[in-house]
Amino acid sequence: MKRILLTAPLLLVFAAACSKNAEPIKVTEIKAGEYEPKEWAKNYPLEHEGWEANANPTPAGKSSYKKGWDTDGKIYDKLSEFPYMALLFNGWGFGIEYNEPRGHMNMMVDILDVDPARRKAGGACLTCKTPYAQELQGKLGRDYFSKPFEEIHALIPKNHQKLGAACITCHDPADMALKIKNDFTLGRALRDMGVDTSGLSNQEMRSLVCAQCHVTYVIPKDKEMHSTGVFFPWQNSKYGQISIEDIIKRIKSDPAHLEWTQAVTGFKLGFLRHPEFELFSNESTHWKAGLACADCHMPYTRSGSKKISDHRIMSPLKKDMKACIQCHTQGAEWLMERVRAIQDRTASLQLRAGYATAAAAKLFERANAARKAGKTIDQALYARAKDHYEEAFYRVAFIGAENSMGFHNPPETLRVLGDAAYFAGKSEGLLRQALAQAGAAAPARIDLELGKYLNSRGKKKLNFDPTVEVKDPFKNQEKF
Amino acid sequence: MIGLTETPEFCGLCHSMKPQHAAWEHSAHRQARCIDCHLPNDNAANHYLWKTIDGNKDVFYEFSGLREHDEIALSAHGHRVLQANCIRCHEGLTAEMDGKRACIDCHRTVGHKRQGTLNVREDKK
Repeated sequence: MKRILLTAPLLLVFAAACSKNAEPIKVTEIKAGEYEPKEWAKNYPLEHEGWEANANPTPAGKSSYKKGWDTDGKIYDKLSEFPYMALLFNGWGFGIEYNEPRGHMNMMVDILDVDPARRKAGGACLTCKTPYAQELQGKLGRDYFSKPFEEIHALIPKNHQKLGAACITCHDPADMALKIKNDFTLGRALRDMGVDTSGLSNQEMRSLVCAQCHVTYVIPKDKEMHSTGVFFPWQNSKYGQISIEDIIKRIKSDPAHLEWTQAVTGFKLGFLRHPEFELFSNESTHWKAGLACADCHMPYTRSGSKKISDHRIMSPLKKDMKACIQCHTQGAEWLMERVRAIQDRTASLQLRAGYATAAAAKLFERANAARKAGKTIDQALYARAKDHYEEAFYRVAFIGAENSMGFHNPPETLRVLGDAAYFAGKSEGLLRQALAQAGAAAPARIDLELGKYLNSRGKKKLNFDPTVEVKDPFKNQEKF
Repeated sequence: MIGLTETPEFCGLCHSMKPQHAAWEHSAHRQARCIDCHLPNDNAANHYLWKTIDGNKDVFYEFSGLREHDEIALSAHGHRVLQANCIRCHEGLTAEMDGKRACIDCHRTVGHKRQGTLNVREDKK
């Protein structure tokens, strides 16, 4: 008996396991489907504080290429930064007003502010602006996409009509687990690639919640050019390997994917938007190292007694490389220099590819005019030139819309731009041959007539701002 | 006897452990003992079980000289033990983080040989 009494506590020592985890104090139960961030703030005030800080501008002068919501208070016109875009995108909204983004708090505000031509696609545009998108699309079906933007926007509860990405966009109210809200776009796209959306790890989700919006998409149109959906063109791709080649193939697979007519060439084309996730996840160094978007853009920060993800999302450059320094201990200045080197090279090649594509576009304009004036343009040469031109255009759009200026995946970025420049060059060569054969030879240097495309744009009569133009840091573009 | 073998002095006695011991002595974790990180501390049974296994393994390899020139690295189990111990001491701080990612994947300078890896001097340009 005595022996049992003595060994019992000993057994307890052996058996006891300290397995209780630290749990945050829950002040309130967050309802399922709760959109109001202030409710979530009751349980997570520190994260909420970070999220609210998205309204504050970031320090100016820290990022050479991505200015947008900085303390200088300026709205940066992307068409003035890259004038070739004004030529290439002339024909629809993107050629009228296209600004550098102003952060997550201004998502909805900016789409309401921008020239209405940018909202022509209708309710579909709300998909990446309001957390209500999934719910609205579920309720309204096809109408969600095709009805006018203002009409669908008015269906959002009044107090949330300016609300952009909020807590519910990324988190499950029940347990804060990361959850994809926009299942009709991202969920579907992942399943199209064969991904098991029920078995995603937390680390994968730390990229995928961002991939709800930081991706390229297609708004297919019907015969009357009304929007019939929004989808991500990943059906030819695999998770971790979504290449521009696959995306172009997908876009070209159906005429319904061609969303607009390029004024300069007269071609009906598809389009690419901000493909951060596609570019980053396509075997980039940091992706392969196992990093997610949140590791760099929402780095862990000490807040009170805990570490939380910093919900003030911004360029790591504007936070003095805080996110980088944890693993790369060389110091902020050295790291900045490395980023600068990558971005300068990207900008240089992007200008090359962009202007080469613009030149080819102008040659198509000439060829079309010559054909109209009765000259015979060789069909075979023209068709081949058009093929190459589209390959160039989609690549230029892909990288031009991506927001890291190459940093998310430097080798892939330069690969795509290099190919774009090559395709554009080949297209130009074939066109010049066709024009010469038709007796309508083009001059050695094409006048891009950029002023025509850059000035007096849209309702606000926007003009070219030379102070923000991005020049080739290696001074090669001026040789052409 | 048990107490003595729980000390860093004891672990540091073996020649092959000298680099690890020296690195640890100057590290941010020099107030912790080897076993605080490298043995399970969830319950006593687990602790003394792995103390026996690892301890004897170390003794064997040290005196047989069979892996004398191998770089000492954590096994898969060793990594799991380490991760659990990181969280054990830093539980409050990491309460709202995903504990499945290895802390040392980002906090690389905590490890023995990586103290001061390319840490920047303020005076150097």
